[in-house]
Amino acid sequence: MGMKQIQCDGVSLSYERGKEALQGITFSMESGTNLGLIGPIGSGKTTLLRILAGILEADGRIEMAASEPAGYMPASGGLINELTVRENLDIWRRAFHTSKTEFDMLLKILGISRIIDQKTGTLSSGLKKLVLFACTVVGKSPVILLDEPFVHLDIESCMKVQKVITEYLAESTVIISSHNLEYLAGITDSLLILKTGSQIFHGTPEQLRQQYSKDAEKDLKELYLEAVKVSDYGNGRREGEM
Amino acid sequence: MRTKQLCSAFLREIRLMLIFWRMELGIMILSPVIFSLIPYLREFRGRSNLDPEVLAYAGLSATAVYLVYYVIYETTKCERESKSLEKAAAFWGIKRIVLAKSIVAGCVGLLGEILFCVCYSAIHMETDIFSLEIFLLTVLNTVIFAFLGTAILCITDSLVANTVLAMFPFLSLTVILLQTVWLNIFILVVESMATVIVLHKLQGQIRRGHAGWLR
Repeated sequence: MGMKQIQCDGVSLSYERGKEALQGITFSMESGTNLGLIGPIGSGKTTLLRILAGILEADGRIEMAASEPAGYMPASGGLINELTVRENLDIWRRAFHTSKTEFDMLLKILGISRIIDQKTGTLSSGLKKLVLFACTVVGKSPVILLDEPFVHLDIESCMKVQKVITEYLAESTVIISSHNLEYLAGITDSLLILKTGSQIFHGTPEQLRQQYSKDAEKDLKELYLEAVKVSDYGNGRREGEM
Repeated sequence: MRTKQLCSAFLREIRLMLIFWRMELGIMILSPVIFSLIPYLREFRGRSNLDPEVLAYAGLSATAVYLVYYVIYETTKCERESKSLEKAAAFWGIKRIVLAKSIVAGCVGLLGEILFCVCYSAIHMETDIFSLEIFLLTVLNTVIFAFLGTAILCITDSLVANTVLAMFPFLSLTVILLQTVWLNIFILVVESMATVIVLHKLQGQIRRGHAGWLR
């Protein structure tokens, strides 16, 4: 058994007027593993990532083995538009004290050397996403939190991101929030499914298959839909009984 | 580790501040020139002249505070438009970000003060226009305003907040022109209290997830 890098017990967050964003989220991750965070829109994925990033404070217990801050990639924004790509990357390279060798290797894998001197504000959404991803992972933090890293990216870029996650970040503990289950399937060791702020599943894709479907031909997307549908049905029966 | 993090936060804020270096330099150079021309303008309009020493202090204070406001306003505006504060806060923590922003803005204000003293003295060919006590008073005012302005603009970029902050250079100018020491000190105390209150409010907003820059 590896060392527990992240341990969350009963993590909950309520906004004002009693609106609960997260209720009782409990999971753990071993060092060097990857977790796919999935769920419908508004299920609390971004909120959970923000809590783990230290931006929001929540109730419950959160323990991270590493003392270094996590690398956090928000779903949007994150770069300074007035600066060039090189200047944005330099800020984070210095912050993480990354060597030039590793930095150049990352640029090569992602293929963003050609735009290094362009102003960030002039880039397309996809290129900005790639640059933001580079800024987040450049330091190989012990914990990396990625919110929708595949949005706006073409297939080739998605594969590059996958390669970075599996190879460049092999020793990091990575949580990836995404609606794109196809890209998640190849790079995650476990899944955490949220719905309306509650946790409906945590485990490996095989455990998801055992719990929700005996049909071996169902892919991850179908299993996820099954899990979300069952949680809907479960809620309905409880309301009916009351 | 924490020192290294703070250093990298400072480097980030300096890089942000340098985006607007042209305007900042323009303010630093033009301000002593403008304040040197005021007596001639008043004479041209047939009005009585102000005490040159008071005018010099008023220019010094107003320039420093305006520079601080300009740096804070432009850098936080740049961050809001880029939505880059959230990522920065996740790595450095909002406290370090506010501290770094405040200190960098304050340093620009202080640099403006020094340059104002040098240029104003050079224009008037005098070396003893500014006394140390008044200079230190304006330095204190600049530093406190740097923290207050940064904290306010991290919470909100509303028209009211910006208007209140933009009035501070004029407030500094007015207070100096009134030549009342106790009023200077009173303003400093009120600013300090306001800074503590605003920082506390920002902290509370962050805990509840309602900080303006999270949007």
